[in-house]
Amino acid sequence: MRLKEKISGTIKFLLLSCIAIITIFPLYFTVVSAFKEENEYFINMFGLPNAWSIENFVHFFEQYSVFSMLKNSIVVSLVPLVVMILLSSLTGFVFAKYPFRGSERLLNFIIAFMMVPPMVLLIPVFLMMAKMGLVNNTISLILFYTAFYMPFSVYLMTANFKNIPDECIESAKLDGAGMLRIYWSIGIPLCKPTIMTLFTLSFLWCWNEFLYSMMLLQRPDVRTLTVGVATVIGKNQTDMPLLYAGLLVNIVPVLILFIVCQKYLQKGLTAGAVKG
Amino acid sequence: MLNGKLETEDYQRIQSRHLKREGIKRFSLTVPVLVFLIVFMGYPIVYSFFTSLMKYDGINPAEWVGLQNYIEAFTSEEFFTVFGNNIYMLLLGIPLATFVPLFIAIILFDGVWLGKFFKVVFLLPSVVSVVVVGILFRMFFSYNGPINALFDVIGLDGFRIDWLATGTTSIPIIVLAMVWSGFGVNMLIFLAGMSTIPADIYESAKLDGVGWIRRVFCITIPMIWDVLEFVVVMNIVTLFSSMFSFIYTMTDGGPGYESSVLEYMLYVKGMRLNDIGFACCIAVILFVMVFLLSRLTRYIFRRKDVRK
Repeated sequence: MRLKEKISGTIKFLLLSCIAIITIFPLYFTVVSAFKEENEYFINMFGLPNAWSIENFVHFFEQYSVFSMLKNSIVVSLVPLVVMILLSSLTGFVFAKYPFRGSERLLNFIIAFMMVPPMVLLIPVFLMMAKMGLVNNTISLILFYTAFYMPFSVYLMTANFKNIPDECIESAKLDGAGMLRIYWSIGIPLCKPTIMTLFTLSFLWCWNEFLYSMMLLQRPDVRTLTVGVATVIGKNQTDMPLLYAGLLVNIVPVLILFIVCQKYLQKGLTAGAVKG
Repeated sequence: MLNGKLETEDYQRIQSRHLKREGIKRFSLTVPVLVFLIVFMGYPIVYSFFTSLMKYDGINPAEWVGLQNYIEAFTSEEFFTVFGNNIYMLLLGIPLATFVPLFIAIILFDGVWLGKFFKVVFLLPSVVSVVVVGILFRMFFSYNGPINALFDVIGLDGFRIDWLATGTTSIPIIVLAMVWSGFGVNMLIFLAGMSTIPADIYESAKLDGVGWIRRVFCITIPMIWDVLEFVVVMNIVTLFSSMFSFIYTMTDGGPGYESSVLEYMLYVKGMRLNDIGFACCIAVILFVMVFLLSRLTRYIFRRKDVRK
């Protein structure tokens, strides 16, 4: 019996190791290729580079306005987040603790927007932004991201505030605090983990989003890094190692976030799937 | 109120007025969110419905043409090529994107040496931008790319083909890219579902001498039935309507429409060819299809949940 368990354990471990290798391999390949010279890429495709040269990165930063793209990416990832957290936490708080007639139905209405495919909205949103003269202005993307990820964050915030015991709210009410006061002094401090979860997830989404950032920010000086990597570099660059260096620069920030916010990320990704 | 005394009726009236005012106050706090949603999501959906009934190129005034766009779509050959690609992707993608993560989650749930480490590793691709994944897969499967080089090394030169040059081979690779970038999240969702199964069920099954396969099929999968449904629905939505970035970076929809799907056609018609009326018509079809498919899935999965 013991032996059987040991064998099955080993088989499972080996199986997962194989899958892990398939998972890691493209990333490994990106890293090693980014440090190779152009000729070496074709001669020594799978091995480690003979000499780890950072030349590709230097070229990448020289040829493309990487810093401006980085700045744009950070702006369109962080600003929607702040607006979203402020608005959705207030709404979630009202839905969870101060329901009104029809609030349940309104919440379902908001959550239903989670299923809308982004492509369906593309043309109307683009025309609307064009009419307002906001194309090539980061504000357009910020507005759209805020709206698009709002249903999920309202959902998360409502679930979060429903978990806060009513007694907290009641005792504050007895002390004479108003709704907004309770929201600000009790609600917000209690939803810090949810804010972190939301921060991690929506930063990843906004950083990685492609379709809308490509359509709404077309001029080179407002371009985001993801779009820059995909269109300018990804489509025209024939220098493979340089391309890999570009991909790596785009991956590194999210990898850091992934490692630092592991716990919140896992919580956020499973939110919505499992009740309770 | 005549003799300085409040009647109960008055009480009720004042109270109901107060409640009404309180309700309005509460509602008003949700207005900013609603404004965002209605302006940037609700209005565009309504706009698409109306514009799909018009001929509009973005410059000249729109012209009402009724159902002509729909008739044009349903009678054109390219629409059916593209729609066929959508179905092809769904048929390939749903089993892969559902059962691979389910299988991994089942093994991880059994408890494996270094299980936590594996979990983190499998999650890694899902934080990488789909655009990056698309470019990586394009380079991997390009004619001079590592996959063909690998075939050379093993001595299978016959497999050395240009993978992304035709629709028949490029669509499976697009699906593969989607599965690679998404299986970690689905695995995590399955694991979260499994962690809610009470442990004593497994213990009593063990006492009864239930084997691994029966344990998986008779306990684990039925117990996470609603999670399975959720994952399948999400996979359908992704495969049907969020593949744009993969296709854009890997094949550009080509050659011709060979590797295009509905949403790519929408993008080409609307943004490149300025046929906005037709693009909105595809948007409506896409929207309705996603709705119907997720409803259908719900129907198929209905009432097999052992917990209900």
